[in-house]
Amino acid sequence: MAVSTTTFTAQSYELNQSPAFGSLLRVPSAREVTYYALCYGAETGSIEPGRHAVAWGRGEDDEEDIYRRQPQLGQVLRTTFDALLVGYATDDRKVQRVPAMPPHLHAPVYEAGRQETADFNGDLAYLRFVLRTPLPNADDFIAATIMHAYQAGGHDRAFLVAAGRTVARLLEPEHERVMNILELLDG
Amino acid sequence: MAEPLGLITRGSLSAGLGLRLEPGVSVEDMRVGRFVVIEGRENRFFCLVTDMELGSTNPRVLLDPPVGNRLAGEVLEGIATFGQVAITPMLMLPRAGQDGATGADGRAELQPVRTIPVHFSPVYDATEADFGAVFGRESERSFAVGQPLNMDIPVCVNLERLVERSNGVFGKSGTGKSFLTRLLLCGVIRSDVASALVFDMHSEYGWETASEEGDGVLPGLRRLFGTKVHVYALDRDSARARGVQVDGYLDIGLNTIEIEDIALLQEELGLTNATIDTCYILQRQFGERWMQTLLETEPESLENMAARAGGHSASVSALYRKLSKLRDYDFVRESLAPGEGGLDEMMGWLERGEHVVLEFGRYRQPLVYMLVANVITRRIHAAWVEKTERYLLSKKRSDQPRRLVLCIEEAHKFLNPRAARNTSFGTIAREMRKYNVTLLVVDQRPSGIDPEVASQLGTRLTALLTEENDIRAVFAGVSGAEQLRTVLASLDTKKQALILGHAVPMPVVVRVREYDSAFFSAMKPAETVRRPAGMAALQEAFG
Repeated sequence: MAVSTTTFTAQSYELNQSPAFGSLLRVPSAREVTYYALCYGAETGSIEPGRHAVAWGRGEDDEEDIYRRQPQLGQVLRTTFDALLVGYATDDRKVQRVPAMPPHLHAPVYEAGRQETADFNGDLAYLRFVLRTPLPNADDFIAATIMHAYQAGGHDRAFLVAAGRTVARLLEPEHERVMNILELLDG
Repeated sequence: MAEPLGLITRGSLSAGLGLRLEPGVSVEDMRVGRFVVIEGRENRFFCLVTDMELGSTNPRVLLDPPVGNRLAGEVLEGIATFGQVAITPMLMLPRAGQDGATGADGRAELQPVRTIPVHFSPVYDATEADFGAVFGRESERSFAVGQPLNMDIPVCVNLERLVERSNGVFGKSGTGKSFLTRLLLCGVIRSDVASALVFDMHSEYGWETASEEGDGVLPGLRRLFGTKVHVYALDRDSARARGVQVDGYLDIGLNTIEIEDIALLQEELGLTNATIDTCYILQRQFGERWMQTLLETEPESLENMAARAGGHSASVSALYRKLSKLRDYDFVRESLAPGEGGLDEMMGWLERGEHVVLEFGRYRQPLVYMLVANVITRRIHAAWVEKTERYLLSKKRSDQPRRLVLCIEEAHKFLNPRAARNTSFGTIAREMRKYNVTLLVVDQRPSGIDPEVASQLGTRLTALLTEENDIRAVFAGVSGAEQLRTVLASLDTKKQALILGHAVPMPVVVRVREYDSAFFSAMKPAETVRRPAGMAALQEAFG
């Protein structure tokens, strides 16, 4: 939907179906490069800019009833998500840095599998870039990213400590932020 | 190679280096006195851990400690909070191919530290090979005195270098000075680098000694080394009662006591300076036999005697009273002809390269110990000076006097600033190195030793000392002493010692070698193999 050097916005095929906050996405491209990005936000709203969705249904209706009675909602609403580009892979190697060219518009976006997520997190260099990017809820985003990788890697505590150490080292002057992220990871 | 302990992050040549511990290396695993190696870019540095500190990069961490959050504690260790270890480089070894002095075999030689490693040089625990490179392997001339704190490998002192200069063994009472001394003496006797004369105040070196644990007796030097060691006793009754096989008894003749000896005992006898002057007056009047003449005089005739000699009568009476004490000892004879009394025999053994332990038995009062030690040492001093002069004239190897080590306890009594100037001990400590006589001083109060003498000590072996003045005295004349103080003060109360000086390339803390059956059997073979007398007999028998 929109692409820039470091971020892109994509639309889900299904309404209300977006990748999880902090999860790793892959964007294969025709140029034999697979892009990797982290989902840092999702939004569901009207397809027309400036036009707001209206509240439907009554108190006793559940969500499915509303969509059944108003089938057009599926056509006038859409779910989009934002992603931060953190690296790319060519045939033989994975690189954790901003790609030289962003992916094309209309390129398909997939959620990376468990193994792929774990592999990508074998190197935590991407955290350096993520921590420097001014995002809303940056700390929650970083914690969510690490937790995803932690789960994908089979709950390996050593990974959690290593990731925590990388964050602590990179954010060293901002002790409150470090502690905040560590609280989120410890929970 | 093992994982590094950490990286060098700061420091200077004068104040030592700072090592930042790697995450995962606990500061509690470090020990003051530990031997570590820095892998610099062009040199390897051998260092001693001298201090430790808790560091943090951010004061906020200290205000808001990560307590209660286990992950945070684990994560922040080594990043926001870290262990900082002060280490002092002692020696450096240029890497092969670098400029620098190389030994005869083309290998780089250990050098004093003249530079510091580059930033972030990794630091490793010293390995067995490192200890070997610095302290050498156990051999004829290298004697293992103990093991490093965290490894079971020998740390050796170079015995030849040890006996080249006077040495000190220090430590508070009960820290194992005698054991350390006995170890050194065993090393000296076994390797045959010098003869040893031990003034054995507490009769613990010669025949046998009670074990530290108090559960039996351990053999002394005589029983370890057989007839190479000769035991002499001052106290006949005690030697007999203890069943000691003595080789002879020592007697002291009044005619062999000189004014210098009495001056040394000024404090013990309670003599004033005026009384010492009186000695000289009497000597001028009555010659060599002045003391016998004085002590044989009837008390009522003392006044006449004073008048004849031109001395003060009160002073003469005082001298008479005080010196009469000496006659009460049964080893004191009125007069001894040259060759009598056992002293010449003792010196004969020493000249022949054998060893003598003089047991004092019951006579462990400082008065007797000092008198006897001083009389003997003065004789030895004179004899060795004469031999050296002869050797310098003839240049014949056979005339070279045998190297001799005199072992004295309670050394501060002989070497305090006043006595050190007047006694043979002071002279020996200062300059007898040239005459092949050195001291092995054993003392618990090194602060009492004349600083001029203390600074001349070649090798110091010191067990725990806590008194500030004593610690300062041990380090007199040692560069980088500041950093070593913490090491000394943190020794265990028993069986640990810091060795520094001429006989070791760098200061080192050791767990002192056990004086047990393994040690005894290690000492035995050398005795049978390396007996010069035995060799001569064999050669005679077989041509």
